Amino acid sequence: MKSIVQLLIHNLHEGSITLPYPERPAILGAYRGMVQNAPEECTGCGLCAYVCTSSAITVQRAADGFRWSYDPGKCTFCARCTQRCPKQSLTMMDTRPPVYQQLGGLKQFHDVKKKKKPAVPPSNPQPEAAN
Amino acid sequence: MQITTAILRLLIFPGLFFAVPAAWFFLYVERKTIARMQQRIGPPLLQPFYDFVKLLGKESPKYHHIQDLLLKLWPALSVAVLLAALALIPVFPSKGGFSGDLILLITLLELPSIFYMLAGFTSRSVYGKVGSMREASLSLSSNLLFLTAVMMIAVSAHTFRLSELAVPAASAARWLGVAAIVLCIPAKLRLNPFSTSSAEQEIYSGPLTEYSGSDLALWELAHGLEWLALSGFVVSLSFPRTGFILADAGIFAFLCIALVVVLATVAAATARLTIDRSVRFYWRWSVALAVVFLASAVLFRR
Repeated sequence: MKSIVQLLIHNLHEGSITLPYPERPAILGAYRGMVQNAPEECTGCGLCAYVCTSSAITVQRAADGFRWSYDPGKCTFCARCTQRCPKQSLTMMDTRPPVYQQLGGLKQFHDVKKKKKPAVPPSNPQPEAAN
Repeated sequence: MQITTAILRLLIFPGLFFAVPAAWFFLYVERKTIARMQQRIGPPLLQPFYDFVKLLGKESPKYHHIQDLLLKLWPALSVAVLLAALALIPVFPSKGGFSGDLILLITLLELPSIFYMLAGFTSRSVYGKVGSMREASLSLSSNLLFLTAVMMIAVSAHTFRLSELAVPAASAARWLGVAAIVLCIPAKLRLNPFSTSSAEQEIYSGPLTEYSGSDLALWELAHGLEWLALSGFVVSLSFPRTGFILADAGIFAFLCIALVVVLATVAAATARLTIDRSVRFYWRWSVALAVVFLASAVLFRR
């Protein structure tokens, strides 16, 4: 009984720890927010889509390249895509996703044109070994 | 009381137009107090009103004809009965107070609990039936103390007339009776530690499990009106009148809100008792006290 009264007095004295909407508590330490892609780095290898367990990321072929799509509504924020990206073009935001009003309101995509391979200089023919 | 006065009391003050916003405010005070005790910021002032409007816009589940009718009837009757009870509470007995008696008020205050039980049985939900049975057990045990306390106040004042009872005589019997009624309020309002009939972790919402939409909104409103009626009843029996209507109204409102804060604090500070413990609490301790109270009322009567 005494401890309950002490707890109530403590709670009243300390004030509320919750915040009124739309305020949000500050993020402490590392935070896995929405996935961001840097299209100039992306090669369209599709590894991110391959490791994505919730199919939030898809990579589809297009006529002159590919389309990288991301649906945060499906994302579990597991960070496997960012870990698997060979070019480190994927990063995760350190802020909370914004409040959205429409279904799929946070969906994003990038149309990336196929990167031309650099011209490879013809290699010198090896001289045949004389028998 | 003339019929026009009765209608005005039922519709204007302290009836529909006054009581409904007041009930929402009491719900706000209850929720805010519990939130503050739990270190939460709690709802804004208009949240009970928003909840009501939101529920009005939601669809109620459809049942077979008679069941549907009854399920809609119980919350509407509860609100109606509580508005009638509020019209009887003698806040200003010197200003043409009600000429009826205490028994009618007690009956009207008791009916919502019966409607609540009937709602659970009518819904035919397992959780509803369990909740209704719990409510019935608790109601039987807590009402013993409640009715004895009311009897004690009436016997000590030598009257059942509300207008005479509302002029408080500072007797020991009166204060003991009021204290006993306050002890019963958590059981009547289904507050912790006597909230077994609506134990959300065990039986969802008990008798209200199958309710949604406008019917649930009416139940929420009835809960607020119960707060208003019971706290008003207790305060009207216990606060000394100054003779000035505004001062009396201010003191009455302040004491009612203070009572809500105290009971909400108790609810926040206690855990839910099981039904057998709740019933035992009222039977083992309260019945003994009730007998002592009644004996003292006979001894101390005017």
